[in-house]
Amino acid sequence: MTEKEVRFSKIVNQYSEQLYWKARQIVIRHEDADDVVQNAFLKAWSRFDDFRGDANIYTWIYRITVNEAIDFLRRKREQVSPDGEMRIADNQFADDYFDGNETQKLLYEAMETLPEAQRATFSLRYFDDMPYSEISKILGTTEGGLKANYHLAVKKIKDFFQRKN
Amino acid sequence: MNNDFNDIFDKEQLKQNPFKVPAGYFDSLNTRIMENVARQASAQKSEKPAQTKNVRMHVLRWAAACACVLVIGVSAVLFTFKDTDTSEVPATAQQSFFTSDDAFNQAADYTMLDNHDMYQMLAEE
Repeated sequence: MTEKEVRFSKIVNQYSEQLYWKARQIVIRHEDADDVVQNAFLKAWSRFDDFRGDANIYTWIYRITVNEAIDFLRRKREQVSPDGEMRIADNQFADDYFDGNETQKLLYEAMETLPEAQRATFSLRYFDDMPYSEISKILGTTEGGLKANYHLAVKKIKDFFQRKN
Repeated sequence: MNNDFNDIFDKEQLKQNPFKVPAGYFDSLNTRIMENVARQASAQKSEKPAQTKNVRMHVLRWAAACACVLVIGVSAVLFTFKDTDTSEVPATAQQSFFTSDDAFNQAADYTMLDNHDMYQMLAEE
């Protein structure tokens, strides 16, 4: 193992689990989260030489992971539906590695109907209570746009719950 | 209904992690990531000589093109001076002529070199 690989390996050991859970919250399915975290670390590796030592390594890889999750969902949607329309996931929610209650199940079903970036925004804001300024840095979007996106996501989820009840 | 929903939505319980992973998943995750990294690293290493070769070929192509332009230019100058009576040409122009002749020889050398290199490149491809 080269010195660079040893340094990178330490980062993988330290952060892979946290980043997996973040990816899982966005892409929801275990197999998808596994792909996302693998791809994210490969991207981080390919840009590792450009990483500035004074920046926070976790923030840097976290950003790569969230954006990789969004790209992953986008690619998946294009494969499922070439015309670019979102797949309505209100027919079923099948995940062997889900252990939540009925309300949580409904919440993740509702999240699956959201467009990729909106889903990521909702995830970062709702689950992590992340400030819009931070989300803005991660997603490269304006804070105003993020606020609108989040409120739209909440409205869609509430509508989904009402339809289901 | 809406109030009921807001109550549910704001409950911390809804924000708790409901997901599981296969047994031993995290034990193997790091190993698999580092295996992929090592694979990518070795792939990058094997790509490097090819990249160097591409850069060299690119430079040689440009050098060959420049040499061709130089030869054409020098030929044009020589052709022009051929029709001129040299006795009427001032000393400075004769100097210029000799300089052009030197440049021609130099260009010819370059051309031969590049042709050789180009043949070698074609043989390698």
